[in-house]
Amino acid sequence: MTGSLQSLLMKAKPFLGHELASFPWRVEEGQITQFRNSLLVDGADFISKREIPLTYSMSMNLWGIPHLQLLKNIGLDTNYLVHGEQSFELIKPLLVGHSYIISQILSDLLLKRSSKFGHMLLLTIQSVISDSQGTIVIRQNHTSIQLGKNE
Amino acid sequence: MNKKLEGVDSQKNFKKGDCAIERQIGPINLQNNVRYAGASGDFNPIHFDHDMARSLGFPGVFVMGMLPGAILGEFAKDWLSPLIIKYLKFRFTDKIWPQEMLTLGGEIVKDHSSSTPLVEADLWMKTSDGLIKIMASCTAFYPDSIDKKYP
Repeated sequence: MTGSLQSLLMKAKPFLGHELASFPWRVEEGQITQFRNSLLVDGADFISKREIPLTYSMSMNLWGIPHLQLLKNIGLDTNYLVHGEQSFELIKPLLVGHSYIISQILSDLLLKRSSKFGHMLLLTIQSVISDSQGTIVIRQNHTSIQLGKNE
Repeated sequence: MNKKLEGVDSQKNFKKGDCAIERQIGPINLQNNVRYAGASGDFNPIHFDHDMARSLGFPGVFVMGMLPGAILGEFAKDWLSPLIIKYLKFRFTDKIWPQEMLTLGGEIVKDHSSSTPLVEADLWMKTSDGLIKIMASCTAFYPDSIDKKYP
């Protein structure tokens, strides 16, 4: 499988630094309620019923078509994708009812071996979320890990 | 002893070594996974389809990392309130299985309040037998510093 991960790495390299098509996203009250409610596992009564969860913006990435298209173009097996490191710079709060533009770039690629998960290909998407005035409100990095099979 | 900052909420002045009161959550079950998948846009079937997960060599479905990650972020927000989290980073160190009970904790690791109105904290999520599943870190600013000198 290392060979096929190596082959994926070679396929992904031309996309490194490539800016994906930006797309709009309107923050809707219903989405926020669904997202917040999905976090209410037993014992998580500290979750605010009023505020937008801090990590909601990552779901804006996941719903984005350009991101999914990139993964397809590289030939990743999305059944074998798990989350790697995720980071957020929360410059200004998202506001319900407001529209934002999401710009993304494939910012890093790394083939590595972990004692727990075997060989892995790490892909990091850097996203910038801007408001309608063009002011950056969030910067975030989302690393996906393509696990190797039969490792 | 920390010098009191002008305008800083006098009720909470975090110091290095301060710890959050640990909270236990879970287990995160299949229904939680499905709800989070629908809310977040992460539709990887290894998180809700047992047959698919087994066919890929896993013993069964496992929890999607950003579901407990999001909960850990909200835990930090609740603990550090009224400070405002501006930077947040997650690292997933092991898979979380649906039957596991999870403990959330945090500790202030850097206290800049004598000069800069922010604190840095480590956060974690671990199983009842102490196995760390998620490591995270955050930087939080005292509210009166926002929109003044700091971003």
